Amino acid sequence: MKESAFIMQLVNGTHDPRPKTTNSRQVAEPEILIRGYKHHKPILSRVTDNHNPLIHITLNLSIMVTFTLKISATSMIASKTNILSIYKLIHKPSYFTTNRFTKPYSSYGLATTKSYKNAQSASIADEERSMTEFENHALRNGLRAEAMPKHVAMFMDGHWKSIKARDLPPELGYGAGRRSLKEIARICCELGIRVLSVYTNFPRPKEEVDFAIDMTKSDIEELSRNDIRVSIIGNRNAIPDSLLEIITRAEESTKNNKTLHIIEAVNYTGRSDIIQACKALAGKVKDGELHPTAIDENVFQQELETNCSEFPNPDLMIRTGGKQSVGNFMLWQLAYSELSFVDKSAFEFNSTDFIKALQVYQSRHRRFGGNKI
Amino acid sequence: MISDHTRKMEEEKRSGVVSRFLGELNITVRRFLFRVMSSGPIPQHIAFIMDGNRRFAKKWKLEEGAGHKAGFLALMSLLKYCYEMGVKYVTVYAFSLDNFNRRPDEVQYVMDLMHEKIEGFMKELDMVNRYGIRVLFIGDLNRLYAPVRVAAEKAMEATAKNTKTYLLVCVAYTSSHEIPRAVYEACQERSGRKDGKEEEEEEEEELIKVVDLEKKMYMGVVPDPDILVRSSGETRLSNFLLWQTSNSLLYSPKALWPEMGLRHVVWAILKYQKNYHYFEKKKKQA
Repeated sequence: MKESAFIMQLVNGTHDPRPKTTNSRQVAEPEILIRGYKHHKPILSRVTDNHNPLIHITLNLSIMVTFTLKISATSMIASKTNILSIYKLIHKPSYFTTNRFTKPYSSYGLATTKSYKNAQSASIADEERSMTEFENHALRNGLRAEAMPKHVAMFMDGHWKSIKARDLPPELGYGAGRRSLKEIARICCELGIRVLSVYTNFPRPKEEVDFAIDMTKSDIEELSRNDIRVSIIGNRNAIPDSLLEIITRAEESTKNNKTLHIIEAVNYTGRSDIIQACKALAGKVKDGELHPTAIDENVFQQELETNCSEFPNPDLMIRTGGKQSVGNFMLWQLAYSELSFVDKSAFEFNSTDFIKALQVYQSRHRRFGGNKI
Repeated sequence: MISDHTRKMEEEKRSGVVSRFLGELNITVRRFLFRVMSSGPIPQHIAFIMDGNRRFAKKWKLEEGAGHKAGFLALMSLLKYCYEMGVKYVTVYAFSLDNFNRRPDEVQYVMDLMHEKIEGFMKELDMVNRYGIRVLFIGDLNRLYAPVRVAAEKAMEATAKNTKTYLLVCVAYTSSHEIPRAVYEACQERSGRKDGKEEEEEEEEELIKVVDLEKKMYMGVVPDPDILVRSSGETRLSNFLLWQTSNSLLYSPKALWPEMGLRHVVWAILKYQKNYHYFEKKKKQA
């Protein structure tokens, strides 16, 4: 039958997009197929015109199987190339779906990179809605929307040089830091960066705590207006109980905001994070919940404090202040991140520097140890 | 001194008068340079990520595996400069667990190259022992192909007595494999000790300390790197020594690995000397 031959051709990758018999239905095929798994109904409705339930069932199953399981490499590759070429004709590529198509699944079998690749966004509806907004903002800044990092980590250093040099009281310094952070958060919302981690390594933990509390206290309404979620990682022993209450209240109230997730690192070091994960795992082993041989990278990653977010591993880390080292910030999570070192101090770091850092990130070639993609 | 040995070695190689003269000049200039630099602090441990071999081969239109061979030559000369300089520990990132995802013929080529070089190394064992270099292979050695693993273990045994300088070659290594494994080993040790001790001191035994963890890591035998050099201009860690490089200087020259030379080592050490106080302060804080 013509329809079944057409379907098998499409599945096996030899589909010819030129319309053969009836124009309207044939031309509509590729667009519907690519849009998503849920949109394959029109094909089935066409097939059911045949009034043969057996064909309907087998074709249904074959479509579901090939799209969801991607059985054979050849059909996968063939379908990928066809679908990708047709997709490019019709849609502008979005930064969610091109990743899904261009990175072959088979190459990450052995290694650890699976846990480091930031998972693709779950909701297709969200991405369609905001795709054009993000693209506009991205293009306006000279960036590509599809290569935007999902998680950016900011290491704000270089405070003391600028404060001493300018003889400012610390409150003014903090105010400037807060303002630059707010601006960067605004840009992240516009560009579609989902997670922003902030680390300020003040010399004394009390100041860090004060800074973080300042941020959260005054901005809770603003945060919820902008749909921003806040969480705080780090050692909570140094924080007095009253402030702890404020923090937990802020975390709870903003838990469901989806646009941007700001992670503040207060009294946090990468080593202490790894150690607390080790202790938690050791405790679990002692309790018998976990067998020692089951300890591997994924299990370990779940125990780290950044597991509260959807994208725990930064794609890009920006360090202001000019010192070229990782500085005990997020050691495990930065395994495959691009590092960018900026000579300015944290207060002088403004949105143009941020955009420049993103441009440098986009020009880099990330291989994750494997072949060139 | 190592530089005397180098001179003797290079003398043995050269025959003509002019080349010998130039070789001597080269060594003397280097010795002078190193003496000048020794007026500042010299790092104890330098780590190298050998990146850019394939790009080098493409750039010079060589065949596929020739980039790795050129990289090996660059490695030997850089080791020579580091040891002459007085750096005691040198770590090198030869092969990652992620690199097993590359094309099988490339993986096979690298494994064969490593096997060949280790065999060559074993042939010159008396010279190695004279310099006092101890070679350690770090990583999940069970994942290596059998002939390479056997050769590596033999090399480790043969140089186990040397203590002057250390060369650590990381093969089949990722930090995200090393850290959970260290936790596992520490747990095993803890549970093994607990069986012997019954119920006394249970409170203390429950906590695994940092010291235990660091002992159990593969890199527990050497101190943390002072400088991490990644060739080819990329600034990422690629899952290498994440725990150990928390307070080390990162230096990323744009040169590809086979193009690395003396000037990069010198520049890295100068940068280290410039930021020496900052890193010492950080180390004391930790």
